[in-house]
Amino acid sequence: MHTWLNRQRYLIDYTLAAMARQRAKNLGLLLVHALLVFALASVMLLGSALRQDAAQVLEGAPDVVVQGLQMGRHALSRSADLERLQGLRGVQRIEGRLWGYLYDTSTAGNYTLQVPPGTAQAAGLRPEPGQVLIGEGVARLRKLQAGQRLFLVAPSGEFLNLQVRAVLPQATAGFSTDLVLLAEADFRRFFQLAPDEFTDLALYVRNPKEVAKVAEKAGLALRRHRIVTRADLLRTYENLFSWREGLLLALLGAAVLAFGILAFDKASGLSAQERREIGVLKAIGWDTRDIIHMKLWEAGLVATTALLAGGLLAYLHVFLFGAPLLRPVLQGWSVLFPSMALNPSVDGLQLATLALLALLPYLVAIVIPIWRTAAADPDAVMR
Amino acid sequence: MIGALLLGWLALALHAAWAQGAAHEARAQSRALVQALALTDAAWFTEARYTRHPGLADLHSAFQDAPGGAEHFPSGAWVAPPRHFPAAGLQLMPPEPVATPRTDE
Amino acid sequence: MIELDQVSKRFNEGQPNEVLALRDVNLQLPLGEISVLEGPSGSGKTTLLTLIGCVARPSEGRIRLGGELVSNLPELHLAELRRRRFGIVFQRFNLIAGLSALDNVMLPAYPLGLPHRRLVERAREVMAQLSVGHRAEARVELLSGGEMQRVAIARALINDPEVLIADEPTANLDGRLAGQFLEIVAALKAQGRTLVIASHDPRIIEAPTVDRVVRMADGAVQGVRRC
Repeated sequence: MHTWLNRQRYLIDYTLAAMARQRAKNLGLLLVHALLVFALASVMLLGSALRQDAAQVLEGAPDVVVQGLQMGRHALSRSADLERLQGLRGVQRIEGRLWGYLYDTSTAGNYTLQVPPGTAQAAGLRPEPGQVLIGEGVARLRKLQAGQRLFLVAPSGEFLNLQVRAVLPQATAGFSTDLVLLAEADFRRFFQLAPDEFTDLALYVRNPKEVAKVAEKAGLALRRHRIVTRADLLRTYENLFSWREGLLLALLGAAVLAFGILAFDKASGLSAQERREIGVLKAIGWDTRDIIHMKLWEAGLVATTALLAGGLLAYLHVFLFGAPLLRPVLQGWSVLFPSMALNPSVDGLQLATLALLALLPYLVAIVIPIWRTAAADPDAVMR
Repeated sequence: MIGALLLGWLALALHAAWAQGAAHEARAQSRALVQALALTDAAWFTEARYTRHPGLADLHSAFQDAPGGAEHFPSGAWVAPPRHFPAAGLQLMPPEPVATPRTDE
Repeated sequence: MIELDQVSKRFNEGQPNEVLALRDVNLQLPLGEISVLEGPSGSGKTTLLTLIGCVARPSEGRIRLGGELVSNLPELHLAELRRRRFGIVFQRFNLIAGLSALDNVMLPAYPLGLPHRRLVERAREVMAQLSVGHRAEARVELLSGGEMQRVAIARALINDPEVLIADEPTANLDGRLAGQFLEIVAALKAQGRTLVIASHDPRIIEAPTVDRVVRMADGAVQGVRRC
């Protein structure tokens, strides 16, 4: 055991000395590698943080949401629909939800206007008529504080002049940044909604184990409605930044390709000097195993350093600096973007995948070309 | 260098552990808000309906691209179609009988 | 005894530029003696040397070392043999640039996995015996010709081999250094080692300590002269 350890130690020593001879090239390789890891890890960490946020916070969402449909598009629900569901067994409570979008021409931002439910829990969030509570993003965009006035204009020409009662807490920004909470009377007048119209319905089930059953019954009771359970909502967010989709897939593909190119360039161009050196080492008593181990150490050291450095920088980038480099992509065309802290959350599986991606192609591409040289008679290699 | 990096990672692990505690508080506040207001989605991407409320996004209406397509709104590329889309292979509603006249209000 | 039995060596076998470097060599070199392979360049002495030193395999024939057949050993065993029983000094020394003299000397012993301190001690000991110990930390690119030669010999001796192979060891050296080399060779013989040297340098061929001279030309042994 000691022998094997000493042997590896000497191989590492030799590898480091050999790499130091081409310091600039190896440093360049390390930097590119680390950069790739940084890019991938940043996206993965960001996704992981947001996913965990969603998973934990949306546990508070309604058990079932029932949405009207007409000609494939979302349609309003009626009080009659609400009554139909009232009679279903297992239903603890039904609420008609009132919420809608408003495109604010003055700032090009999209707001979500909403009426807080009539429950005791929402009492502190229910404004009086003429008052409004706004999310921190709206406050930032319109440069408003509590006590100031918010002017809203609907496409129909309806006009609202509301006093800001409060700005919703910063800590909830990720879920409330674009909210504008109004009294029901103000909301209905603004959007010209009839008294028996609702955006959709929220259903609460007495026994959590019966949610699927109740959802099914609701679907049968209201044939022209769409049923979305909380489990469905959570699943949507599980797929956030999924490997299979869009940007991350493109990034991943590019990264794997880049890793592969780097590795092949490094390994296939075995210079005359390198070949000669291998020949000399074999002639003085190294065997094929030693040569290959040495090359593996070389690849492993570069890849591992790149992985550690890239990962470390990615963590700092995302969790200490709020991912400024990814922000333009995340924000897209949104004018309104939450100012929120990202909570560190590490998905072990994803990091293991990243480690594998960073190490494996490099190792394989280094070892395969070297095999023939390492196994040849030293005399043949030295000529 | 690897030693220094490993030390860095140790510091990270400690930071993450500490930050989780702080995160817990923030998440609890958000969860309470979500529960009080009966919210269904995060407010991360406010560009379009299906990015603001990916959980409730419309089915394939005209002039609306599905989430997951990298097109008009960059953030559409980040969000996969919800699992309960029929395109994802799951039945959304019980099948409708073809010739029955509608009796819904 | 180092025995070669009907040994031939072809390069680029099966290709248009195939070359027969050695033809039907039959040779016996007793252990504990100094044998010199003499001949002009292209005569095959370097090739023969590499075969004796197990650095290359013969295309045909058999090679025995102390009665043991070595020419058909698998690669791992052959490497083991090279490590333990042979030491090789190349014509242009082939020291690894960028490493110190001490690191170069220790190289052949790396696969043995000896404890570091013991290895360093042994390397310094061997270098001291060759009067080059004071240059242990120096980078090999900064050594003089004579120092490089002695470091190369030290490297060949680190694993205490019974056979030392040297290819044109005095080719790049002046008279004084050639004389020093001969002194080292004599000392090694006195230790009971076997030396096989390929050279066309008359100072080597006619040295008094040499026991045997093998004359070569056109890839074949022309004659063996006992001294």
